[in-house]
Amino acid sequence: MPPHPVITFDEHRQELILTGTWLPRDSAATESAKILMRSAASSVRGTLYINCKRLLRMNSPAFSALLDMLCWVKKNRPDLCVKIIVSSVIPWTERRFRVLISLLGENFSMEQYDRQFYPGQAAVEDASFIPVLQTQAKIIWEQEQHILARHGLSPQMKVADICCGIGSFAMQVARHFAPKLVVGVDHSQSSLIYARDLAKEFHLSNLEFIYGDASNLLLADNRFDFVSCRLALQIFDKPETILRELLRICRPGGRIYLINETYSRCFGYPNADAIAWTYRETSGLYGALSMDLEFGPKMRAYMTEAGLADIYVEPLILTSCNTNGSDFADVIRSWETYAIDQLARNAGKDDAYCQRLREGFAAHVRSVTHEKGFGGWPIWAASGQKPG
Amino acid sequence: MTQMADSMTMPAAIRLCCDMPGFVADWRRCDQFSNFLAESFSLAKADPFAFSNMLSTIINEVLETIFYHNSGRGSLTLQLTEEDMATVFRAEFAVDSATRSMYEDIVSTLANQDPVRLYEQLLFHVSSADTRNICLYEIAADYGVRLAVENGSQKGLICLVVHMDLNK
Repeated sequence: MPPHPVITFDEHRQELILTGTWLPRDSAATESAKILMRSAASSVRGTLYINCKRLLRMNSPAFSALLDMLCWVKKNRPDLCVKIIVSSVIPWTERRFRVLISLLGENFSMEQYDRQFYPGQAAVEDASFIPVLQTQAKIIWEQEQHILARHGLSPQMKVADICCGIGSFAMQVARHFAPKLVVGVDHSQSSLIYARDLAKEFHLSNLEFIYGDASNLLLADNRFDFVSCRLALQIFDKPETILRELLRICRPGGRIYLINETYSRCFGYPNADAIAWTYRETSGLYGALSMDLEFGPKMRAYMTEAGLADIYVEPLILTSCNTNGSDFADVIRSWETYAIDQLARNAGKDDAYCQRLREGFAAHVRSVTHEKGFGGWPIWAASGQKPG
Repeated sequence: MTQMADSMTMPAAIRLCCDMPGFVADWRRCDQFSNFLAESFSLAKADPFAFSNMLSTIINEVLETIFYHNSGRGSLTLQLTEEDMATVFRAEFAVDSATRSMYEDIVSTLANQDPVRLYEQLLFHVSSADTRNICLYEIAADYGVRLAVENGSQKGLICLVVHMDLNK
């Protein structure tokens, strides 16, 4: 049977994957799809997954073809569960399949897979977090703006900033690098609302902020000259999936630009040992949530594996000598709050442990604010070219 | 008729006209027109992609219904406007009296019964040959749209009106 343009079956994952736009004219035009789907449903055990994460559009005849298979399962495979996976990025899917599932009864369910996408999403959705994100963005930009040209960013480019957060980097690029267009994508609605409002206030018109899922971007192939993804691969458990998407939307010859940390190597003097202990521990707490805040030096390996060429990595180290101490201290205090109130408490750590964490953060604050102290935050910048 | 004539002459956010024989000559017109209208209309929305994706999905279902249920002559006029926070899609085209009755029956049935139950009946208990107008039940059940049939701007025309609250 020739491959179906919209449907593929991954037998290892027991998953029917529906991708793109499926608008057949009538029932007759869905025969091959029906055969494929019924054959898949016949061959699996336990649970059949129907992946609609990237199903952009589907009309009634297509829906009827899918329903045909689901009704067949209901009648002939009472042992089988069917789970339809949708994404919040494609709004019609959740509404349409919710009704269908309610009509099909037990054994049929729907999951919006990206509902709990980021383990730290709650903090990002909290509006009180925005001033700290702004400060963090500001202190990084002060150093980062000087290296971007080396990584291939130049005027008149189409730029995508994936996991753009509150849009600070996208807006700075729009201001200072005269791009043709900057598209920021993020999965936090509150961050996007903030970003859009600010862009409007600043009259930045060559800028779009769209809701999206970095692991399943709905942007076209080969569309952008420069694709950035900053401090984000480190918080996903499958960074290679996102890197693949960054590569897909980048044009041949364009560049992928990443920054990530080695959080455990945040440093300071005096009280270097207390600081080092706190950041090692905090990095471990993030690790327990499948976030790898030591991802910085691993970027070269991941980029090489992804097939990028001309890879260039350099340090982007923020220190108390190149960064405003008061701003730096605000950022460290926000890390402290999150590390203790969210990470340590949720991990069941006792008061003594939390107190020791607190002392390390306090020492770090002193190191970046005291006239004789010295402290820093190691970040790494990397870029690679998509082969032509 | 007066009401529709007024609403069709008010300034439209987007309006698209084509001749009906041209529309029904190619099935892909449903997709092309729904995409064009939705994408153009969504440009100024906060999240253009999400809004356009939802809007084009609904418009496509309406156009696929019209594709099968029209007189095959005259013109097809499509209009999208924003009215009282709702997005309103209007399609004006020629119909014979039987087709007009079909649209009026659907609108009346949806207004007086639970759209989800009606949709369920069609989905599970009616053969596929009889379900060419299922799209209208479907958009009412799945997306909560409200449908109306009004007189067109000329005799022999009807205007199918779809009210959508896409800001939910």
